[in-house]
Amino acid sequence: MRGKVLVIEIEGLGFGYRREELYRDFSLRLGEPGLYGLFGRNGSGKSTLLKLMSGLLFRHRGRIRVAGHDPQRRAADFLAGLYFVPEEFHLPNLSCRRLARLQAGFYPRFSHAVFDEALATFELDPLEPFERMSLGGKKKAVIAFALATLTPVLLLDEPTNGMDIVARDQFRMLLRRPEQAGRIVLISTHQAHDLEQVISRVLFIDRGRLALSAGMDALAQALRVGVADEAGLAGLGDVLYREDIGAQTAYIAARRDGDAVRDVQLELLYRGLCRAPDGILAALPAGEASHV
Amino acid sequence: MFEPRRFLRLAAVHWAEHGRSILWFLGIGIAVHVCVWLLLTQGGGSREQYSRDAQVFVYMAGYMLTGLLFAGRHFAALSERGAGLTLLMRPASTFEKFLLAFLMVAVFYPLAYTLAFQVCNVPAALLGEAARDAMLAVRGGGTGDAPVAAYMAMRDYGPYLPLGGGRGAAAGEANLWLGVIAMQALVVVGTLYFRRLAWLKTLVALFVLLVLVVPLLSMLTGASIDRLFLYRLESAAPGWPRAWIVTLWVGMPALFWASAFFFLRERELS
Repeated sequence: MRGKVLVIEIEGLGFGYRREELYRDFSLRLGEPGLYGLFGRNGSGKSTLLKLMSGLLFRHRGRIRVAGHDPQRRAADFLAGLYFVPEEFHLPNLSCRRLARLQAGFYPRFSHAVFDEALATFELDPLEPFERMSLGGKKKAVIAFALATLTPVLLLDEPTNGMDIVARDQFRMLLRRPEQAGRIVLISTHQAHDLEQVISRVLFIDRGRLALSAGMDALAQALRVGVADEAGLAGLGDVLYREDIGAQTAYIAARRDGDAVRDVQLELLYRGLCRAPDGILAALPAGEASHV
Repeated sequence: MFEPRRFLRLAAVHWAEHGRSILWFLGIGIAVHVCVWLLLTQGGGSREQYSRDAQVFVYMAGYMLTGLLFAGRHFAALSERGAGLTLLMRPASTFEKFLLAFLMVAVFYPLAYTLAFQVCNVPAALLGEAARDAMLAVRGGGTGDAPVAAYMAMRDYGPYLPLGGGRGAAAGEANLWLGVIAMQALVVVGTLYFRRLAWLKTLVALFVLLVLVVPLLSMLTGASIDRLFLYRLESAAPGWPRAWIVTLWVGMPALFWASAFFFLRERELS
């Protein structure tokens, strides 16, 4: 990361709720624009981390810089450069059109064209008041607005919760748009499958530490993920994680020279990291993983 | 820290989101005022009861009560995660958000309340004045009770206009305004400080504060409680310079509002 502009820089973070320590000496550095998937088990502190980055929670120790700002000061310029879509969100009783008219001015890079395109993709009526929309409709409206702000940093907490399958496809399609390529989009989710075709890097939090920070390409180079029967498994060599699916077995194995490079199934990797992290992390090249 | 254009945008967004509920709040206040008038005048049958004194009482009591309720509403969103996050993450400085709260609570609301108050007050006061004139005409003409007529003639009638009653009355109104502003600041602090049941906890805290602080100040200053806290600006309590009274009345609200700013700045949302 040395030499790159660090948009998000966290060093030695310490934070907890009352007596429960959530983060101890946590560090994270993100400089490249891209889509980052933030994973971890329930209670691992994913949402808390997003709130610490947003300045909604104040760190106990360490240092956090987001786009050159200390988040907890909540300076206007900082807030204009970061958009956070929480899991529990609120929309005033306005329409999409009115929301954009009123609030677009807060965000210097806001694009009405991107907003209109996102609304059209999500099949939302720009003039329909939010109170008449379903939960999924409201979620889509919030995400459309968030995508249109084009802030350098976009934080999404469980963005696909409440969305149907079609809406999730639409969401993925919008994330792939070139306008989104110039910003850091950090997505915290348990729905790993929703993201595996769009994210560029996986971040996995475990027991208050960043256990894994790896590019999807690096994961594909280092791991072999698939489904096989017992005979097939025997020929795989070093199986790092396995789970039975009826007569077959889903597996994560260390990729050997000559093995085909395949896309990594994030859901399986997620489960593997939750249940047997050590072997998987050990199989990754240095710099891509840190053991907890 | 402060950018006028951004502040105006913040105010426009606040009005777009809350304007309707603010108008509802004022509308309910008018409806309550009508009910109070009906109670005072026994269903409208004794309209002469709505004298200037009665109007002043209704105005001041209504302002104190609704002013505190209105103050408690401004940051009420912070008790809900989603709405609170929207409020804190809106791209404006903490000072701008604080200033908007102060202007809405301490400046806009008294003006809006006064206007809303007159919606019911003016016709009710005119009806009261007409009832008084009719009563005087009957009783003053020798067919009624002369002492009652004399009493009626002494009372003021006609619409009460705040700041329209001369210097003495204006000082009392300034007292009320400053006192309510100070209390409003404490309510705002309560809604910023307490995460759950903010309103209830604020009320309890205010009660405890007043129960503890008022007697303590009274003991320290030697002034009686009513003199210390209800004394008018134009006449200082015996033994205390006028500057002290003015400082108390102006300094306390300023101090409370300053603390509201710091509580807003330090507010977290889990």
